Amino acid sequence: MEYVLKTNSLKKNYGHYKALNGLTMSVPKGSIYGFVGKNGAGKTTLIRLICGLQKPSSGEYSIYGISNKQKEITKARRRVGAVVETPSIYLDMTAEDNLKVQYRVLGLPSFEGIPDVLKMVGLENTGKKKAKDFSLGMRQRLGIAVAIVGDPDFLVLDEPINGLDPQGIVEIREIILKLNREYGITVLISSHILDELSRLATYFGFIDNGQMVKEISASELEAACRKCVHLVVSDVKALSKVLDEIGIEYTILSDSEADVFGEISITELVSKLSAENCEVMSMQERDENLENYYINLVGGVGNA
Amino acid sequence: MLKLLSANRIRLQKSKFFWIGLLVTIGYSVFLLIMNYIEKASYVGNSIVQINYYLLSPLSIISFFCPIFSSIFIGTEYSDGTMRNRLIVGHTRKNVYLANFMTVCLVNIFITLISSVIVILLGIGMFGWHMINPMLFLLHYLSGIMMLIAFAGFFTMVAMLIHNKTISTVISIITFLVSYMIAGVTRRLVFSFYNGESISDVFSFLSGDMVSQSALEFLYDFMPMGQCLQITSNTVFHPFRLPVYSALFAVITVICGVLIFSKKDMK
Repeated sequence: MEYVLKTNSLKKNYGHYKALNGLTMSVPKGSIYGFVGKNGAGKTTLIRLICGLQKPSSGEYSIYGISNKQKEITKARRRVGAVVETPSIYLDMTAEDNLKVQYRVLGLPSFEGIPDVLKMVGLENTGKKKAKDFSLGMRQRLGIAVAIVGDPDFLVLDEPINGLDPQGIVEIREIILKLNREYGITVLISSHILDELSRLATYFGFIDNGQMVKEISASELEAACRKCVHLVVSDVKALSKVLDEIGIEYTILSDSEADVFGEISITELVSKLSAENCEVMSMQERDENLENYYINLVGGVGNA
Repeated sequence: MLKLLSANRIRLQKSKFFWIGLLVTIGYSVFLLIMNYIEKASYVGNSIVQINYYLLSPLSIISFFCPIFSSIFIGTEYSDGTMRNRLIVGHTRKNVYLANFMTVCLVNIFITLISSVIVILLGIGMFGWHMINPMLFLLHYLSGIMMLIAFAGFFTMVAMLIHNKTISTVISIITFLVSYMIAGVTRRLVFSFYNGESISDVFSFLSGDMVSQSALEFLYDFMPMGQCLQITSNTVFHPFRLPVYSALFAVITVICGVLIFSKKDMK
């Protein structure tokens, strides 16, 4: 698998406080990578490091295979667009003027693409309205517009839907999906709103205390979070035989445990198991979502 | 670097503060011309007719404009977070710093030149062409430009190293006013040597063996504010030293600024 971003034992200290404590992660190319962690877990610190706003205390990271210790990292960063914390826009300028400044920052020769960029983020009709008069959602979209000037391959978004109303959240979600699916942009997105993240991300990284707890693909997460009945039985072979007869999907976990997926008649199952001399020791319905998964992962009530 | 300068040019075009600074400086020059023209029309011989005076006077206004402009123009990059856009796309910190320094320098020079053009056009019409000692004037004018570059070096450093726009603006203005007071006191002390006074005549708590004339003159010549007082009042003691000191001052502040800015954690 090709990776856009890889970090290796990345550390960042602020005095005695370890904001990142040996973080190792990989962002696959073409993915929407959901970066999940509670406040102070180190999400924004990582984003600041990879954007070149701060330097790591130790460890390293690479963008498109170029290490931060190489001089060429500045060239690699030209393929990156980012919105870190708040959207980086001139409040006393219009949306168009903001993009003009960014076009010049990147050395683009003409302003031809500006209407297309504005249209992509739904700001084509803002005219002479200054960014300071925009709603929070509009500012966020303008921040994304500035970040995608120059057609970056990798977009980093730090809490892009914080404080937005439902309409704003939907708009940002559609923009992110469009950028990923139609333009093939890899997106690293950190968010506290796990439900929203679960609708977007194709890959997840769970961070806690500056360390990566788990990286998992959306399909793996879906399997882990799939609604099922967890059974503990005296004879798992008998259970397997009965479930095969009924035609229900299942996963054997050990010689006494299995997860059974789909709708089952408990009475029918228990009577058939009884006929096979198999005793049901316990039965528990499991229905995990991303939030539960995260809480279980980091251990205890987190501020996700 | 050119990309960043080009981006700053777009910002300048939209910057109300830049245009206000330009208009205020032009207004000040025109005000001086008109007041002296009225004086000339009313009391013959009492007005200043030398164009030298009108061309150098705006330097004091631009010197005061510099700390306010630099802290607001650069401070906006921090308050709006747009400094990040430059670093994220791969511009080095050195280039970001130098581009902002050069922008402040170019703004100072641009306002000086525009106000000079206005002064020449109106001044010749009002008073005719009265230029005293053109070569010395050119040296003073060059010293004035170099002094503005020295101011730009210092106030760019303040604005680039203090992330809070309000704090950097307040510090810049206070620094300017304090340096104005120090330059004024230094000027008084330097003049005492030429007026045949002793330092204790000027300030009773000072005695002659506490400060030397050469040290005071160096301070008066080296400080951009000291230079400003000398150039605008046409009392330059060491005309060839001033541009050299300004260049040295600017280089020191830029090197210090770049070194500290390069190591600074950005948010």
